[in-house]
Amino acid sequence: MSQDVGSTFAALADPTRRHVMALLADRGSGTATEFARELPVTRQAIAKHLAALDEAGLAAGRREGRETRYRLTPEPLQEAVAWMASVGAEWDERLARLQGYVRDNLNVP
Amino acid sequence: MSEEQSVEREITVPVAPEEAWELVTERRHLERWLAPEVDIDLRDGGDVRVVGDDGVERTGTVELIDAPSRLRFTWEAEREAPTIVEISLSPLEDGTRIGVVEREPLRVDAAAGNVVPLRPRPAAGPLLLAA
Repeated sequence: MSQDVGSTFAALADPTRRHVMALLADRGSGTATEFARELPVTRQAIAKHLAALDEAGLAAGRREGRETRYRLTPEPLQEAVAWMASVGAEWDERLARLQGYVRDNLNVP
Repeated sequence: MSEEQSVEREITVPVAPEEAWELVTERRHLERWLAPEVDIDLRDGGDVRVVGDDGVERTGTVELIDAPSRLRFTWEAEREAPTIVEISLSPLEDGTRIGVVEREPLRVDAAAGNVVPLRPRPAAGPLLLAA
């Protein structure tokens, strides 16, 4: 697994954060103030979530006056999905081999 | 815990757990299905070395052995972060279920009550994801 993939998933473990992420995906970009109008969470809490998404590489912030405007940068997510797909495929292959091996070597009394 | 990065698979084999345990721990069996080269020193802290079809070598350590139900070890290839593999067996009426989970190592951040990855992000300062 690459170094950042785990933090990507950790960043998405929080339901409010996933909600913020979904809003970002839907709107293209946004600020804590904008999203606070749409979620039952304080502006400060949303600012924290946005900063955490930024930290995990899932969003990028740019100062805009007194606020920071974030947009989505989904590359790490794609990497995480790619990891799951490739590791999953490896185990599918191994376990299919195991099943075949057992079938071919079963001791029939 | 369901949010963590992990892959889970399971199969059912028509053999008793004791026999299934041999399938997932003995080299002569492992080299027929897990990878062409498998060397697992079956004791706590024992060395693990697995060379795949693609020639990639993974090395790691046995973390837990509980015959005939659970085997857990770490492995990592060069340039890859380590992951944990846990193989668990559960008896069925007419066989054994073999489950496999591969995931990244975690630690529990007791203060925050959150589970976060063990590895810090490179040069990014303290891990803020539990915030």
